[in-house]
Amino acid sequence: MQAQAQKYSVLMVDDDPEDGVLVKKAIASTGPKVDFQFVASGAEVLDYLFTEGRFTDRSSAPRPNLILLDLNMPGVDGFSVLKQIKSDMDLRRIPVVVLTTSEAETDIVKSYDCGANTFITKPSSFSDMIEVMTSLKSYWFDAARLPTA
Amino acid sequence: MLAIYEYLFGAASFVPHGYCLAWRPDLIAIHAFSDGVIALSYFSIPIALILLLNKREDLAFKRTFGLFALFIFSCGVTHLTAMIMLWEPYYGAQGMVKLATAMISVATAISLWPLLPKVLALPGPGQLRKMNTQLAAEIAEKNAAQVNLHQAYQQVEAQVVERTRELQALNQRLQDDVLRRSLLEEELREKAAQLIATNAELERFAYIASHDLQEPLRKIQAFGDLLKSEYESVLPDEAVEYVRIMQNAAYRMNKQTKDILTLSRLSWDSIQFDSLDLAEVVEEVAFDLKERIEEAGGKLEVGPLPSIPGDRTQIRLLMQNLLVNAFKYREPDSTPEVHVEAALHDTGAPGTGGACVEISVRDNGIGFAQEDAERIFSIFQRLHGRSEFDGTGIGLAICKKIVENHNGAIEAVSSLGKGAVFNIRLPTSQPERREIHAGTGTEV
Repeated sequence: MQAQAQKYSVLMVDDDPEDGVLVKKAIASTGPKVDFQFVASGAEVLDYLFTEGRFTDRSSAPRPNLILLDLNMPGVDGFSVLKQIKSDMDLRRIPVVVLTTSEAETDIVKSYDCGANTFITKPSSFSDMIEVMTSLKSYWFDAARLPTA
Repeated sequence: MLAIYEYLFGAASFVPHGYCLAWRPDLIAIHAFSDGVIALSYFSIPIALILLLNKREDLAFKRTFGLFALFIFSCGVTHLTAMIMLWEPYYGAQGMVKLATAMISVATAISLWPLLPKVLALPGPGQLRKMNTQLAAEIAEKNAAQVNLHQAYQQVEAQVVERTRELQALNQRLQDDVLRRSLLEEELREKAAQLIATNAELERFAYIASHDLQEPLRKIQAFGDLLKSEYESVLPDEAVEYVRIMQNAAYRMNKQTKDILTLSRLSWDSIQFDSLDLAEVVEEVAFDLKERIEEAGGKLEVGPLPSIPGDRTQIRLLMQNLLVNAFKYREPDSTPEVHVEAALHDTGAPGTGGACVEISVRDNGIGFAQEDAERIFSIFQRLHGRSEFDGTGIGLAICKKIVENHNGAIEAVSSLGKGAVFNIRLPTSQPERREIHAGTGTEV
């Protein structure tokens, strides 16, 4: 997969790599190819975004156009990541989609309060996952206009 | 001296008394004998009296007794001299003796007369005996009375002891009872607290279990889907069928855990009573179910519905579950008709008896036996097999929980094949906000 060649890059952070596989497959099955990057912890995603640690080379860590963020992660959790992204003058423009197993009202409210752009509960079937990814892509990459980085 | 002797015993010029009796031997004998015997007798009496005086110290009138002894003695001496006078004419001496006797007699008599009333006052032995007998009788009577009294006293005392013991026993029993009761109450309180804790624990467990179970379940479903979509073409038909069965099972389990989660959340989340337009809520639900109703060729008729105080999410879920059920349990090839109506009552609110709204959801479906009317509200209670009607057996438990959260009551009326009516009574006024479980757990 050639990151440079693709127009859009999606960065997913989730402590469950199996969900990473599902989302990757779902995205892959939805028309035009997008770059898919996956990290498994809150600390790693911060390194990735701030090009620190093992992500100092921007070519291997392209700036994402959309972040899929899990909430419940050991160590640095989704809310901390969200707060750091949204308090950074540059990174705050990247839309963050909270993609979690939680359906709790408190999590939903807190996510939006922390600046999440969307809150989605992980669908339980693969076909629903495809549907979610299709609509996310069509909304954020087709309908919405984002600032050019 | 000689003159005195001469006066006393000078007998020269007198003749003895026997002479006067002409010395007739029979007369002499009778006088001499009688005087002698009298004298002897008279001498014996003072001896007896003196002995008596010595023996009986408590004797009354001792002086008079003494005088009397002396008087008898002097009388004896008089008779003795009279006997001697038969032969010797000592008239001087006899006169002296008589004089002495006379003086003693007078003294005795004088001392006796004033004594008479006193002596008369003294009880005689007969009287004394009688008195004694009386006294003895009285004493016996008194003794008997005392014995009776004592017996009575003892009886009373025994009764008192008995009563006291009874009272003590009763008291002890009462104390035991009180203690036992307070222990029972304590136990009951503990049990109630335990029950509440266990219930809360169970609900929390149900919540966590259903929540955490969803995660691996989602994986089973999603990867099953993936397996099917990516490899269906290369897998043998049998394998594809197995995957389908697994998918179905996972789908049902997912639905079930979701329902359990919903049910446990109803016990957990706080409830917000807003003024709710029931007509609007039912309209929304009907819109969601539109496809389903049309698919079945069914008909939903909604009468005028009031506004009620309620939690929007929960009341919506309640109406949704009831309507889904009403359309689901229908006779094959029949046209399901469901009526939603409401009536206002001044009384009949569960618990308070105040004003209430009665909402009824009536269908023309398969119904159920009235004896199952309570059972259907219990979790996992299903009257039909999965092949007949799909369902988790939680829907009505959710309905019941919601109604209870609203301080209401729900009941089902039906008979087999005659359709069913679900009646819900909700109070027209609610406390503004009710914490069902204050401060329990954080969302995971």
